[in-house]
Amino acid sequence: MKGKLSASEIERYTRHLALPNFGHEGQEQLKAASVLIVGVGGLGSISALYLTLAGVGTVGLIEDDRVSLSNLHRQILYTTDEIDQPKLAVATQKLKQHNPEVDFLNFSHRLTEANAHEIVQRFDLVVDGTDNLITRQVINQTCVDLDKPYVYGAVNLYDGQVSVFHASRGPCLACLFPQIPDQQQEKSAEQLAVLNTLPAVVSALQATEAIKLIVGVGKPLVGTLLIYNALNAAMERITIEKNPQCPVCGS
Amino acid sequence: MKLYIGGYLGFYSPGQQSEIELTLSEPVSLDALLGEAGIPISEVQLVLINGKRVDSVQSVVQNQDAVKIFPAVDGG
Repeated sequence: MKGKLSASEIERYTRHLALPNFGHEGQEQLKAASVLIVGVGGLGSISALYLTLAGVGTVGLIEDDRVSLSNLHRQILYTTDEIDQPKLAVATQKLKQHNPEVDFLNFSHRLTEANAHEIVQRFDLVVDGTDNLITRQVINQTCVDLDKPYVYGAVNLYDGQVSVFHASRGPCLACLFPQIPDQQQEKSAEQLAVLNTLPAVVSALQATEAIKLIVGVGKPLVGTLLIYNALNAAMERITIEKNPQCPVCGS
Repeated sequence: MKLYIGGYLGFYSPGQQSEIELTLSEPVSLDALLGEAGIPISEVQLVLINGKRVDSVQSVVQNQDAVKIFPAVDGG
């Protein structure tokens, strides 16, 4: 039965079950939960792995890309001999090996305005693994429309950002960033640069926030932007106010 | 004044530095400061002054301030 733990699951999740304010109930909530991970690249491959290991019952994966050599310094689900293979198939196979108790729903196309509602409504929350602002806006609008939590994460060079947007109890992405700045369409290699451990730090924080939201433990990053700077090993918490005039979530 | 230039914006700064320390003899607007440093204001998405977010790059900064600027962080 979905939510009830089998004997093997009780053993698998022993270290969770002994956690204060977590226990069997928290683990059963994870088993009953469904999480959509949009993009299985640097961020998404790690958050997908941790949410799979954590025992989230249903993990949805969206990815239309193939493995390339330049992915491999940070995208831990892929190896050199898998170059040119579809990421979605490779990732799902690996994740199933890590935890066969988890069900996977795969979407081998991009998340767009046209398909977002139909996909997102099937899940309890969305975890950001994308590499572009357009898709992040689509996730944000859809999560506001459907009142789903959106676990935001993004990286660039040595900086990472994490937050939880949930419009019914706090700001949304557009409250934080009302406008997309004038960026050149094609970024240079330098502008796309990222330290390979940075997605790991950010996506582990995202997976943690997703688990907290599902289990109801701790205080999620709603209304707070966490900025991580690898060079200074510094974390900064920025308060984000809900914007009553927000074009996406404003009343 | 300490200026942290986050993400790829550091590539625009003199010497591609991510941290700059400046002495301001009088308060200046942040956009003027960034303009002198060669950082395109249109690409600045998030500004923090002393750890608090400000909405405008026209905010005035003083010598004792710590300022952090970030581009749209969109990688994944």
